[in-house]
Amino acid sequence: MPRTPPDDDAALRWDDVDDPSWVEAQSTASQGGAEADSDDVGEHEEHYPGSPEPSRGALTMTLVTAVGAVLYLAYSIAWIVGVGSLPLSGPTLVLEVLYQFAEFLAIVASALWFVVTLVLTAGRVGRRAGWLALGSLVLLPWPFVLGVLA
Amino acid sequence: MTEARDLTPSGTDPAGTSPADRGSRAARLGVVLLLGLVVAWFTWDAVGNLIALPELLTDLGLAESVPWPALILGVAMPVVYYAAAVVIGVRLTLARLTLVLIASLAAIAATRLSLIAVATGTLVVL
Repeated sequence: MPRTPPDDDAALRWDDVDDPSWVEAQSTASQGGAEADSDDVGEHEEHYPGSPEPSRGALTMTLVTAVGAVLYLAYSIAWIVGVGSLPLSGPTLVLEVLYQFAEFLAIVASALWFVVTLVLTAGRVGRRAGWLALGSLVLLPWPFVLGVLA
Repeated sequence: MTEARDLTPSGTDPAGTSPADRGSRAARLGVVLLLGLVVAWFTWDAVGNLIALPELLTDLGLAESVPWPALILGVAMPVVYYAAAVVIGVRLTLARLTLVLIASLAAIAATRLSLIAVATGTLVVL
């Protein structure tokens, strides 16, 4: 049987940048615009002829992004709940406003990290997975976690 | 065809290669300094905690339960996060630099609340 054995560890490692699959995914994503602007001297040497079915790289990218979206949405909810449980208040009006602003920033931090990662890692599955993983550690909602455990 | 160019997904451009999008050096420096004011306030707030909380706890006879790691991390963390964001964003377009810096401010605010939660949680346990 010519069937290749399934790669059980595929989800456990980051594909490196030289993996041709991410280049392929990037070129299929940009095909619509690339036809129109021929004067754009881009970084792609060659555009692949259109393949109708999505490549493995595109599927991996979609999977990584979807998992990240669910996780960061959960983080946002956990931050909203967690911030409410912190009894912080400033002694003066100015400090109170600044504290409220900082709490607002903490609530939107997960969404911002997710958006920035998506914008800056277009077409790079490994980097996207890495930055989303780093963000899940940095933005761990301790106020919520401790509130749940206590 | 400028319209056709606008259709190109932004992700296909290598970040920061178009000189027109990078903004002037003064504009980029201005954004870094303006948002750095927020970092300065976070650091100031953390320094205030580092000075005031040990005094308060010592007066209450709880000198041994001062959460030193959280207090010291609270002072260093904003500068470290912001410096990392500047290093990442310095080669990007002005808009993306601003986005990265704002995201770093949000991450600083979240980590600050986490440190406060951990510090107060330790106090309650003790």
